[in-house]
Amino acid sequence: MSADTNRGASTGANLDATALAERIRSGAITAREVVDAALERARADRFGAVRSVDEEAARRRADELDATRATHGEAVGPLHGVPILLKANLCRLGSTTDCGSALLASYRPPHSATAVDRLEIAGAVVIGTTHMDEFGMGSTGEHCAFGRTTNPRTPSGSAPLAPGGSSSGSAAAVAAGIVPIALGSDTGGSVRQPAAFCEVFGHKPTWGGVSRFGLVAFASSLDTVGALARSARDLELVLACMAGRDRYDATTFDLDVERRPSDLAGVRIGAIDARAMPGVAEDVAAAYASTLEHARELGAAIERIELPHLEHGVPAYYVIASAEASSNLARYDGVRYGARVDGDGSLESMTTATRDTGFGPEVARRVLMGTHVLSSGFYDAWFDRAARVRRLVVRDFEAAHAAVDLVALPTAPTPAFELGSVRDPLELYRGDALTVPASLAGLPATSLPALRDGDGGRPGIGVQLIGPGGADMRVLAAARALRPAAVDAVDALDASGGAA
Amino acid sequence: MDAPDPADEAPGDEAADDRSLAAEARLARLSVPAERRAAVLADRERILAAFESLQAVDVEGVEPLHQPLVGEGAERDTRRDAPEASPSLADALLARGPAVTDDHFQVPKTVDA
Amino acid sequence: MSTFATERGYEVVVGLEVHAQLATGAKLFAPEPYHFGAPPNSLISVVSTAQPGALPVLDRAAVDLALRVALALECEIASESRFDRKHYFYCDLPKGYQITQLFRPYCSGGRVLLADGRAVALERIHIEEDAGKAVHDRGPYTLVDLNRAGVPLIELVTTPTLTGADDAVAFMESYREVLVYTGASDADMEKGNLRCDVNVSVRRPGEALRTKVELKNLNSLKSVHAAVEYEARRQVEAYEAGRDDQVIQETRLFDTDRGETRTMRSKEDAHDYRYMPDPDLPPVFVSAERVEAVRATLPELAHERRARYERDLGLSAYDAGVLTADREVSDLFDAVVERTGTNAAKQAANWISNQLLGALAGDDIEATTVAELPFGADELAELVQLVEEGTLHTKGAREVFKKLASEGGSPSAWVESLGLAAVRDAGAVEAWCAQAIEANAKAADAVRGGNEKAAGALVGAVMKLSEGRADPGEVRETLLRLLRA
Repeated sequence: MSADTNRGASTGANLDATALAERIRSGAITAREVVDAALERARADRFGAVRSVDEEAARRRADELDATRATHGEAVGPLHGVPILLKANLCRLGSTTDCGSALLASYRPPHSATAVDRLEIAGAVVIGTTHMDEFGMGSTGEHCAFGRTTNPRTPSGSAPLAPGGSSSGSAAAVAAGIVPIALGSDTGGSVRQPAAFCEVFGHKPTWGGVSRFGLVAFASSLDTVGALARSARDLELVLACMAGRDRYDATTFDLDVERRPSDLAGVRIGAIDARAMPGVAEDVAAAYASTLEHARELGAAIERIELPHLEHGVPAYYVIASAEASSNLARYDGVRYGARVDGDGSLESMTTATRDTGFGPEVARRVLMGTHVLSSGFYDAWFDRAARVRRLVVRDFEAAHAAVDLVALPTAPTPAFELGSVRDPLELYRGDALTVPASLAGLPATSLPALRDGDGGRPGIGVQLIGPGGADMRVLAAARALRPAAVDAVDALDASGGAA
Repeated sequence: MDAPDPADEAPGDEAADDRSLAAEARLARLSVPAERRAAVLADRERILAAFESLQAVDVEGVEPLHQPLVGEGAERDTRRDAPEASPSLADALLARGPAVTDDHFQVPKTVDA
Repeated sequence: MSTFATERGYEVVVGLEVHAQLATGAKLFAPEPYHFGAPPNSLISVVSTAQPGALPVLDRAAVDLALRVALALECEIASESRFDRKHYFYCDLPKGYQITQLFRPYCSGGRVLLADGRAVALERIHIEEDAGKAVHDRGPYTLVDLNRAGVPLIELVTTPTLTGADDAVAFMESYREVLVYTGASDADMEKGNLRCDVNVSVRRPGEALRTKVELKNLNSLKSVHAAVEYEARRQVEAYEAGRDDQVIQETRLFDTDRGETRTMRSKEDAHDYRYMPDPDLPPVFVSAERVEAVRATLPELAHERRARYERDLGLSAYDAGVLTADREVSDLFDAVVERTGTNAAKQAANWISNQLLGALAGDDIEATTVAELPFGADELAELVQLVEEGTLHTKGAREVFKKLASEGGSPSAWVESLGLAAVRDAGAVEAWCAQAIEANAKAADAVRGGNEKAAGALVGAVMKLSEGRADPGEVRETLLRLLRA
């Protein structure tokens, strides 16, 4: 056991990607060894995080990287040899991209997402895909057609906690130490909230800062490609590799990826009165307060700010997201790809049968809702109105960011709850109240595990830092200042009884 | 907000809602079997009622925002490279069709050109 | 021209919706090239087949062509415009929505000038993408070819101010001309890169507009004319018979074989397209500088050229029309006149209208278009000048032209190698005249007797003797002098 532990420790079970890449670069360990260990951990996945693994391709790639390093004496890029997992809605040539949906169960894209391409060019080794809520719609991992994921931070002996969603598997895989980095997508909180629940770091970039080409669209004006990791510096590393203008995505721009010093002295952080917010649990408010206190100790100035339209975030978000989802999912008609189901002989019934069979109930609910709010007679009162409220949310942040450098919010109103305990869709939607504002405004936001007073208390509480558009690296630097060390992976803890 | 009390609805409203749900389902190419319609409608009404607070926000003179572009008004470069054909890609795309005949995607016959 | 409808005192109100493919050779939002007639599903990509994760990226070349049309039609250009999604399901529409411009199109206003000078105001013009093609006649299924999916189109909608089938055709002809002259589109109805739907209603003059019917599947101007006439008649007959119920707002297909319009079998439900601004595409910005830059490259339009030909060059309306039917022909004419000077314009016009167009249409030479000719404006201008200065007479000039058209080269070289230079030698001319008089005593006597017309035969004889190298006018003068002597 001890030898395994040591090997596990040195091959990445508890190293963050930055440290791991350094070891590979220095020759202390090979890419192949690292990838083999990750594959083994993926096989041993007991949280239902991993959806699929491509061992052969991963090993081949690792060997290539080792050969290149042997020949040229240097790494191909900053992520040389680092094993990563992809949320199943990120296209990759050679993989199955099922988006957690029966409709795309066997879909193999002929293209790769730009973000994925860039990480692979930087040397990352994709070992497989992770479970997710279907098409990104969900916040517990329960809306996956292929199985459910549990939260690795579940205290032993307790009923399994929800990992959050929709990047459920990615967050759980990172928390479990299967891989140091997993890509996800964040539309209304789908990277940040599972990051909070699984007590890892998650970053939602500025909208347009990372290409969406190859990310299967859910709600175009809200979707982003985000990453999950066990350290803030890993998120900085990944963002620097994948961000920037892409000619295949017209909404991209050249995001500034220069690393910032992680010094909170003089940084002004705007905070809200979390206790006064309806629905925020006592321990969340406490953890939020103690995190802010910690920031104060590091030299930050905490100032009270208001976000007057915060309460309208969820309605505005769900109206817009459903509408855009109904639009983006219209291509799933059984004609050109996907699992076609025959109808009664007509084109229309074939498409309907394909969608009825292929979509889960939450997706169907949102597509119907989206169709409704876009239909004539309702467009003005719902979709158009939500878009105007959206602009008011943007203005709230503009005003806040004029007064402070960063806005801090709890990531979610509650800690990770028991899987299956929240059934009411409305209640689940309300769980996004604190993440959707940054999505509506397109702003960069990082969730870090909260810095609490003392141990104990319910697991799965995160705090979110939100910056102005384009300020991703400043946000991440602040997160790194608050929590400079990597957080431990669950299995590493279990195996070695302490940090490696 | 409480869900609307069905007793408050005027007669005929239910039928209109049912028709509009049927029409919307058709537009979305999703079926909502007759026995499920009432439940689906109630579910949706409940959600919309919860979102009713949107109606009370003062949006006078506020333009809708459809894309949170950083540096709004900034011109994005839309120029593209010269068109590139890729026959191998075309083949790969066709190969993904659930039913392919004569290098065409095949679907059930539709009347009327 | 009276028709069934007008004879019964009805006005036929027509509005057109015309789609023209922009000749960029590429798709509007997808990376692949496009040309007509490619093998099925060979010009497709991740974007045009709407794969999961695909995103549209705008081709600015399409915007430039669309701007040319808008400026030619006197539209106002929007400095900022947007794209919207129009949703409906069909097997030839991969995304389940079409990217078009509803809320903020790239231009507004504008008008098309008909040949008779009337201006037809436009309702709107906007840019959008084309759908693929569904074919229903290859078996017990429908087959979909997505080559055309994503091709750039401009859609133009007129105000309902046209009256009758003739107007509809006149409009299409004028608009087509603008599209071709600006280089924006090949605008060939047979190739499907110009398509039109027509809205037809009838009413008594002065009345409010009655119910309109949309006509589709009009593949030629002939069909457009026939369909409008048929539909107008159908509606008038319905109203006259008290059967207003037969005229409902619907879409009818034109049956080319039968020459009738009929209701579409599949009932189209009233479409709710659920338009939504497209979040994947940033706004399109067109600066004033860009507008002026495009405007500066616009060619003179056909109707402007015709006016100039008539006004400045003294050509007839008919001749001006022949010259401007094809932009290349008109460009050639302008280039020739530029070299020869306006005095030779009529001559140049004749050469082009008759010899050149005739040669292109015939089988004697390979070339079928101006571009394919082995000679250009320089050579043609030279030929015209040779005739103007008397170095070549008609017959010789025609022979030189034939050589130019089939083999190229230069007129002066041909004149020399074929020995076609006009004979100016008065002595030689007189000798031929004397010869002709002798050989044609009867005609000679007739002329001497006062019948000058009979001199024609003698002129002909001299032209034969001289192999066309004598100047007919000079010959006639010489003959008359000799005969009077």
